[in-house]
Amino acid sequence: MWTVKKRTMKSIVAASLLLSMISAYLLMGINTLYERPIVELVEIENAAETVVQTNDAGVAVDTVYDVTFQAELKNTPYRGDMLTMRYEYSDSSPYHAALKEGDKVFVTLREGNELTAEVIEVKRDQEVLVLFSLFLLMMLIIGKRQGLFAVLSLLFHVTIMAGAIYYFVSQPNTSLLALMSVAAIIMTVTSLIFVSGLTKKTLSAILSTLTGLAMMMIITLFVLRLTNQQGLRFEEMGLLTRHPDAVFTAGLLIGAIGAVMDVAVTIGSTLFQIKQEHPTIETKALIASGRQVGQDIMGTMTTIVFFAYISGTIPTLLIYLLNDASLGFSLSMNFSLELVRALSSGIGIVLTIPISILFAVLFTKVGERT
Amino acid sequence: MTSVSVLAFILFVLMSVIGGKKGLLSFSVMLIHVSVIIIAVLIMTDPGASPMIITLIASIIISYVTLFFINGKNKKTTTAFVATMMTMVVLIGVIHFFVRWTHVGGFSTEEVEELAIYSFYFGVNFTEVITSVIILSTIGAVTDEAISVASPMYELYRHNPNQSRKELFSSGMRVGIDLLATSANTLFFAFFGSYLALLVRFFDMGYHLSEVLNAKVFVQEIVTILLSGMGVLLIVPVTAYLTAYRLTTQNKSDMSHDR
Repeated sequence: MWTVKKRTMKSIVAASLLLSMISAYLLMGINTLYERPIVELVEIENAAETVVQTNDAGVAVDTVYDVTFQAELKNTPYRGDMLTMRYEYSDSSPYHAALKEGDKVFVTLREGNELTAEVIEVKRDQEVLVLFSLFLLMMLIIGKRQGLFAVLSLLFHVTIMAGAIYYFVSQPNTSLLALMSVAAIIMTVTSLIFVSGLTKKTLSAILSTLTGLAMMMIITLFVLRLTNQQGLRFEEMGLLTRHPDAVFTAGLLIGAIGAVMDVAVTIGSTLFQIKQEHPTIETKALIASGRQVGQDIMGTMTTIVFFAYISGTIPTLLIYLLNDASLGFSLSMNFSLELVRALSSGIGIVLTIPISILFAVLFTKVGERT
Repeated sequence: MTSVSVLAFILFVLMSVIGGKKGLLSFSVMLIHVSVIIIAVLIMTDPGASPMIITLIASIIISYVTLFFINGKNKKTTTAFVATMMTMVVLIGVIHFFVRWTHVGGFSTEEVEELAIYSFYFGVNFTEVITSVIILSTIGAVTDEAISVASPMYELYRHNPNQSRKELFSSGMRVGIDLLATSANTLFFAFFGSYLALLVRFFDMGYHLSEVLNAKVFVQEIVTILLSGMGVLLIVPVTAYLTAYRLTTQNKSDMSHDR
């Protein structure tokens, strides 16, 4: 009975997922649902090539195309009108990518004697949806239950953080760091209980994660205050409409949650398992095993967060260097925030090792007395 | 003293005290990684060089250093290394396809505004640069996942050498899949930490959902999260299969040399 039920459940879930993906895709194809004007490229009439740059040796390095094309307006009261539009892109596509016939773009409309329009953004939501569906499909097929967990926890965490930011934006006097700390506690507690249930092991992992994160934040904030944030360039957060360093410090905390949780869980579950298999093991030996595990994961964990942070600086770094800025200047302008993130998370990861050992040892002892 | 140098010093002390020799090694590996990234970017400034090829070479070095310097050169790490490389080659193609298809190559309007004083036309292909960014942000997690799958499989085989390739493969899959949620979490939270400014901006400006799903600045981040998630997923079957294959094709005398 159970197996039949389970299988039916599975197919219901799969069918409803598929159905919602398809209907979302179709909805995104209905242009009139969008407020912003959308045009579809009908015909590219003329592409004037300009060789804009030559390098020192006098060799052409890049070509810019000034394209004139016919486009059909797909929504707004002028729906169906044909427009002649211009668009510029280059072979290197640092900004605009090449467009082809059939592509849809969002435009700004100008109603003068004649209707004119300018490209703002390529319409890419359907492509994003396809990519998301593929991601979901792969997670479910290869990862099965665990894959589903990964996707659900991703969505859950996004929701919690979005809620915290929403509150922050609507209540101007709250501290983002305080809000994110609450969010961090909620996310840690729910994720860990969700993964392994409400046990002593989970409790120990929760306490280790939260203590590790707290210690990491105290040390990092202390250093930032002590050094007066010297060398930190907040220019790269210029897209923010508010004070950047509050957002930056809150980001430090959020960025480390996953890594610190991973360390706490890995060490905790190893020690609990050892204790279970060898109930008479001495505390000293248990601590030694914990240290061993900690040393094994320390390097790879710091590598994971390091690359997740640092890679994002490459495009801007490149632009600086291409414009003949010195390496030192380019690095100091673009690397500082990411390095602080990586180092701070690294401190969190390493600190969590002894903390997790401590809590695991304490919690395995608690069981002995009762 | 700058904040970065003080934090680096603290991390160095903590790693050597808690991690001992291995901690020191991990810290030096981090320094190597910084230099690999910087050198890769310097080479990318040559318009004749393909950013994707440079990234592929950088990934080989990064994964080599991470696996062999920290974990030592042995059968487990070589298998993990080969699996990482195979996955990277497939991944780079998949990522490049999606970056082009979703038109997220290059800078967003917001970034271009900030970089307004600079010129952009140097012939360096920025669609490939974005592909490189996504690959490099995943490489740490993919390498970690590879060794975490290969290592217990060798142990399992040592305890019971009579297992079939299929049995070994499925136990490798089980181990990898169990780690999937936490590996993905580690990566995703790191991304969220860096994207926090963007998320705040999103609420500040009161963007509509349809704007978020179409704005390059957001879609770049969504695409990075989804594709790197696929990366940590894809490495699992590749490593499990490769390890199972190598374990079952090598002869038994070969195995005894190992220990």
